[in-house]
Amino acid sequence: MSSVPPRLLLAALLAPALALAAAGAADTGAAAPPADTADASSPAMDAISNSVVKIYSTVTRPDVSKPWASLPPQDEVESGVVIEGHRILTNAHDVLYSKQVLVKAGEGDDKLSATVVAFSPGLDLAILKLDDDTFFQTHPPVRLWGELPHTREMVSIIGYPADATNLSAVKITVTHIDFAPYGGGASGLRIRLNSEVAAGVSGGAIVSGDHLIGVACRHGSGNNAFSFGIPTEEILPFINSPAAGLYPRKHGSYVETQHLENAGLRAFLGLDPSVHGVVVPSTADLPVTHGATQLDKWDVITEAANEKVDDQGQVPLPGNGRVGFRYLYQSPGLTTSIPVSLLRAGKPVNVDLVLEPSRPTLIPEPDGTSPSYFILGPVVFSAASSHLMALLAGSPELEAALCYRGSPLATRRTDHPAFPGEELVFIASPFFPHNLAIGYSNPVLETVKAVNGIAIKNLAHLVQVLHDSKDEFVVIEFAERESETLVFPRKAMIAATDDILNDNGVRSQGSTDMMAIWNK
Amino acid sequence: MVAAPFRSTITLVAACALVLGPREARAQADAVPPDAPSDIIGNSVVKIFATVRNPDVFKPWTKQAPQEISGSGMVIEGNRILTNAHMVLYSSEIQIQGNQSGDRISATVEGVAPGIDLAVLKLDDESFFATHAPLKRDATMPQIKDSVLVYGYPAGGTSLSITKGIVSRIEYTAYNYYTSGLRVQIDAAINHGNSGGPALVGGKVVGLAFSFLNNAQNIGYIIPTEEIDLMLKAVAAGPYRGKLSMFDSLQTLENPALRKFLKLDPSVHGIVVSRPDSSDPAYPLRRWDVITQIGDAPVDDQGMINLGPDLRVGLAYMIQKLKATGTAPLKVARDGKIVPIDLPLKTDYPTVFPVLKGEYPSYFIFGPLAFSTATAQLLGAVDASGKAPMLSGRSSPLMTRRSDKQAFDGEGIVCVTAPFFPDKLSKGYGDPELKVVKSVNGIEIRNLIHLVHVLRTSTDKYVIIEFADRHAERLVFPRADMAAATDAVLTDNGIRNQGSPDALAEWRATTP
Repeated sequence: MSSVPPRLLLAALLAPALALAAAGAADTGAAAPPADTADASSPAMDAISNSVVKIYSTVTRPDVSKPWASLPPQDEVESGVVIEGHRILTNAHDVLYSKQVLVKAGEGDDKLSATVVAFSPGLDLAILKLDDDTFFQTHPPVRLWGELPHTREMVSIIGYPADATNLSAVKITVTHIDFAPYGGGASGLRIRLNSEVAAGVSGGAIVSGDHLIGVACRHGSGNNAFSFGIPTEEILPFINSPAAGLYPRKHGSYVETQHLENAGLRAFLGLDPSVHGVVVPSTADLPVTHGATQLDKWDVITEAANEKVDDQGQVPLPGNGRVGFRYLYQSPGLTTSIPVSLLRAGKPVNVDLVLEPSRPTLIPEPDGTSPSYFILGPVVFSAASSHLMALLAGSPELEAALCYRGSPLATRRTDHPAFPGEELVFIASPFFPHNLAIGYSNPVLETVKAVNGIAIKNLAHLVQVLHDSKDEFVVIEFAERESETLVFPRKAMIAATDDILNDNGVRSQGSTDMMAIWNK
Repeated sequence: MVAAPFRSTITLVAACALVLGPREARAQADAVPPDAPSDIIGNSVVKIFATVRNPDVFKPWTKQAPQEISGSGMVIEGNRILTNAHMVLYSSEIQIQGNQSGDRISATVEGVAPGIDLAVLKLDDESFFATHAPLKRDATMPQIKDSVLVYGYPAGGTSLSITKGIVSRIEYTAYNYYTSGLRVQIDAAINHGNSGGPALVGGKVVGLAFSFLNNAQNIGYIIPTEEIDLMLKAVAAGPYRGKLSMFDSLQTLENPALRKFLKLDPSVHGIVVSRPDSSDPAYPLRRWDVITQIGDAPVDDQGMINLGPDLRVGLAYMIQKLKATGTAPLKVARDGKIVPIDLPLKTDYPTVFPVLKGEYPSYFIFGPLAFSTATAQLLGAVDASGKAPMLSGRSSPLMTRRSDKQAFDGEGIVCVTAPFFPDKLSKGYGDPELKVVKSVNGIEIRNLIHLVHVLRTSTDKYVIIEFADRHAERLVFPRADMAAATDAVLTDNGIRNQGSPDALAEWRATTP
């Protein structure tokens, strides 16, 4: 007589049918499945294990100081989960900039070729499709459970550790849920765990019972590793979106708020002890429509989306304590505004606070692209990007030097563009050796202020100015204190470029977008 | 090339010693005869002991723990001891000890020049000078290859040490902060403890040892007598204010395209002004001027002047050779003509983060907050503590304004240097550490004394403090509670003074 328990058999047969319904069930917030103890050998675990894959990617990330090339290829391993629609969900950080992504399920299986079809650097999520779809016949999608896990709940992290080819399941406790920046430019709910996720398991499944409640995310390495879970609530809008490529950032409000705990502050605002909420100390960052902002300085926000806001700016998260009120910006059904209740000079006021799409930053947030560049003669121009900021973050001496010279890379780091399309253009690498540069110090990391007297708005503008110029000289002026002005004979500079590219093995004089302008 | 001199990574030695070589014939009536036994010269070289208490920039109401240091010095005319500024800055107990003698004599600082790293000491008991004669200084510059002896008290022993070498190189370069000067390089062994000791050629002092180059061999530095004489003359004339300098950005004229662009005749040589110190139309220098001459000295395409064999130095050196009028006579090539101009000079760059030169940082404690003037030393400590990225992330003026000049006379940056003193008045507020004050009760704060003035003269019911850092909270305190809170803070933390003398003077003033 077969010793296979009837429950397992049932689960296996029903899996494909249930899979199709999984997304729907999660959307309608169906009742929670009975919470199985997360036992590595339980039938629930076996069902999930078929849907968790190991991902090998070879990434060539941008090299800020050699923008015509990339950094040497790095092999990354992580985990992923099969989701409906013949797709695989994983973290973005290990598959962005990949030249090759391979997916493997279980020991003995071959690796299959995959491509990234959608990604969100902000949420650190990415979706892969396989070249060969037949894989999904034997590897069903996980069932997603749309509710958050509870504090102190035991869940399982299922994935492939970096040096293993077989699946591991580790029980872990949820310490709490919070709403915070993920590190890629967006904030979201995070499942906080009581220990780090093993290297390689990032992208793997967080399971409660036999349902997926989140995707594991591990940043950094060694002693600097930091792990958390991305809950299904954050995942669902991303995987349900029809868009391909870069996933748009979340909308929100730029309202500045401050806690209302301090007795002096409360007395100053004349607040009754029964009043709770956060105070708006300044309306400087709010959009101005019809000559005014929607809020006044010293308004007290007492409710947002019908939830009471406490003195630390938090609102209840059912079953899970409290989170920052800005979580409510992503409430289902809120697209253009969020209703807030205020106390203004003692009187209650209701306002539909505008939710804006994310404003661009002068130094763009990560978006999966490589910085644009353009080479003329011995000079390498590039546009400041998040990759450059990451490089500077690793070097305090460089940072201090930039500050002392008044570099816009330091002084304007957190600015929004002063006009649409504004970029900081800088010299990305030392001169290519050439006698055109004799007598000049290397202007690496200096920001271009003007060329031939024309103030430079962005890299495309710089290329346009160089393209259109008929002057005898190219005169490059930088923003930094104690910088030299570089003067080159224009025709000789252009003529020298080919030889320079040859000598230094550089394939293209500029990125595709810049060459389109140069070659017009 | 950028012409601004670099600060080399040199180690300040507590004292330097050089060994005299074969004698040169440089007899002068009162000089110690060159063939005198070394103890006659050694008799005029003293060991210096000092207890240093550097400022604590993060807790400006106190000082750092005392450090005992030792170095060297020499007897000079007028019953004085000459040594390095870095030996005596922030020193409270200074004592000198003669060679082969045990008794120590207390000394005080008469004049100090931190920029050029020199200091002059007086002794409490001047009878020492009856038996310890001053060393004579050589009025002429040493020459390359001259044999040199350095005397001092370096590490590795307690008595006088003599080392020997030659003069290797003479340059005009950056010293400390914004000061430049002549510097002589020698190859005699120079070690910690040698600072302040004399270097002699032919029995006469040619310089004072003060540092060596890290990770190099046999590269030691002495401050030549020319710089010593300039400093002593200035100290005798009144409080030392520093050397006159020029602060314009210059770049070399080496590149042929630059020459062509400026339409310069091939016979024109000099250094290009890439950014004049001031854009005021009254300022005599303009962008693209080529400085061809300073005084009578022609300037070459690297911005150097040639003042004799082995002496090709930066043009700014000429400033100290010319009559001190506060301006430098230049000739510039401009629009095809040579134009004479008188360039106004300054003793200091008017940075918005001043350099502390022996004084302690100004501060003022108000309730649970400690405010202080942000200085160059504070910036250095912030960088060393690894807090710079956090400050950059919130666009702190401590990062974004480092290259700024003062926007108006007397502008200073006020920041909170320490976390809150524990007090219930601060409950619910986040840590204000290193936040820069923007306004108090809506009044934009110009400097620390102005902050104290605003706090003193306010009659509002609340004190509202706004910070310049992005997204920083406003702090609101009931004004009536602050005096009592301040008292409690000072008592609880054993702090003697609510503020530095200048801040207290403003706090106790009665003028509106």
